[in-house]
Amino acid sequence: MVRPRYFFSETFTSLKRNFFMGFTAITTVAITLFIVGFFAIIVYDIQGIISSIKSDVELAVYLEDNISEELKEYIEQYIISWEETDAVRYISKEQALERFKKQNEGSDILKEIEGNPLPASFEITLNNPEKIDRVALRFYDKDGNFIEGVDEVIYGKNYVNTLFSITAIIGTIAFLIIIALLLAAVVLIFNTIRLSIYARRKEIEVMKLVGATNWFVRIPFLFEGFFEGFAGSVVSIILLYFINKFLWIRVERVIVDTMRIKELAIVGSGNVISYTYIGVVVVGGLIGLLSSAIALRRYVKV
Amino acid sequence: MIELKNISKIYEDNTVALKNINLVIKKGEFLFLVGPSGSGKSTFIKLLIKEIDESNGNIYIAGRNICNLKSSRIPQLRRNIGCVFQDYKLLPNKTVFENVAFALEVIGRPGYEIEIQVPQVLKLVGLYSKLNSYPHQLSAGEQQRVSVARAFVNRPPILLADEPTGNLDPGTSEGIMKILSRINLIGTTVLMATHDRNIVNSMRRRVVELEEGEIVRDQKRGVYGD
Repeated sequence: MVRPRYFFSETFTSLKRNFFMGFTAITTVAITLFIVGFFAIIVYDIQGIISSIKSDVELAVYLEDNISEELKEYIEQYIISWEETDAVRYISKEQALERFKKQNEGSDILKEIEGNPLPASFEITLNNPEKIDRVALRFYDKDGNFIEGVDEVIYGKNYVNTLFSITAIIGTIAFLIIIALLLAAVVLIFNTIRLSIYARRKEIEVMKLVGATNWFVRIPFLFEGFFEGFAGSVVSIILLYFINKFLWIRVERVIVDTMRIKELAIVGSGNVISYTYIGVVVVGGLIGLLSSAIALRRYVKV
Repeated sequence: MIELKNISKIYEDNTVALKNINLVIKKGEFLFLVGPSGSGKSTFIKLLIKEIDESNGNIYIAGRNICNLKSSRIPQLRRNIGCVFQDYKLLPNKTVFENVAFALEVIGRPGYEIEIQVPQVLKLVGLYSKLNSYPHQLSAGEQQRVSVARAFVNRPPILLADEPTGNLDPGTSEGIMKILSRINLIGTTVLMATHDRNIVNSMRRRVVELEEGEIVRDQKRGVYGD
């Protein structure tokens, strides 16, 4: 017994006649999902900033001045062979001096330099900066001395560790806030839809008493729940669109200009915004549908 | 048509609502179920539409034992039993037409049939002119007539009425009884629970009296009692 026309007309007349309840549900969905969506974008950007700061972390391996070409070659191959290695850059003594001069242009310190006291080095960036401790250890032998050809390994051990624990905390907090907001949204939407079904429990009872099957009772309510979730989330992405277009994109441009960060939600190439919009609509529709389904369970049993 | 064998109902709070009821109601009969409040009349009716389950015994409707009915078969049972309630149980946000049409939509009748049947039954109960009114725009008697129309629109072989005149004044009640009689005349088995003495006395139909969950009297062409 498939009667799509009955179910559609039932859904829409019911939405029309229970306008206030439907309106309340739609606004609740719109507001809560707007907050969740906006916060998700902020969190994405914070994560972008964090990973950009992390990837700036470098390991510098200073080489002994008299290192042989073979050994240098050998060490470079050794570094490249590690799976943690993202990139290795060789900085010769001359390049190091050049850079030093540039960094200290006009300073008195340059006059005091005789010859080239700076060592050649490898600068290593890692695909997972958190493993920097482990990677650094490979330049030591069993007795705690540097391996042959290496003079010093520098990566700001304390700075890096503090940075990682702070970013880990920020990441966790952001994640928890997103979860909490999402939970709050789910609970609010669920309660609103449950209330609107509760208000019509008599109607369900009558349907059951005149011989409606459970699915016959459920389907219009499920349509309605889905529609409310869907409509609410569409409103929320319209709100998101405007706040992104007129406010958040400016914030991101400032971040991009000042911090040289490439991947942010709006200005990035990753289409994060589209996925956020799609996600909001999917979540909205699903919450509406599931809320109705769960809320109905009690009342359908007559 | 309806047969109850050793039916008992004990509620969860240990109230005994019905004790060992044995009763046969024949096809086409008009039966009053009388007795004071709390004597088990409503429980009796709720058992027949499986709104509640019996504690003991068996109920046969059209030869079929409804006590071991799967829950998925309950809607089918209810479609063969029209039900009129003391509080009408109309859907407040549907019009008179829609309330009645609903009983047909539930059983999957096509739209054109609904368009024909609903006005017909509304004429039967005298509410054809109020097709598009909402329940709150109707008087109590009119609402009850809508409820009767809804119960009867798919021509069920059995019609149950639980205190259908409980909220109505005598004149209005008489109108409802006329409709129920007419429905009975065309072959429908009607079972009506009531404690409306005047109605029972004026109709002279079979009377079954309940007291504290037991049948104390079963009388053809009976009256309400003392």
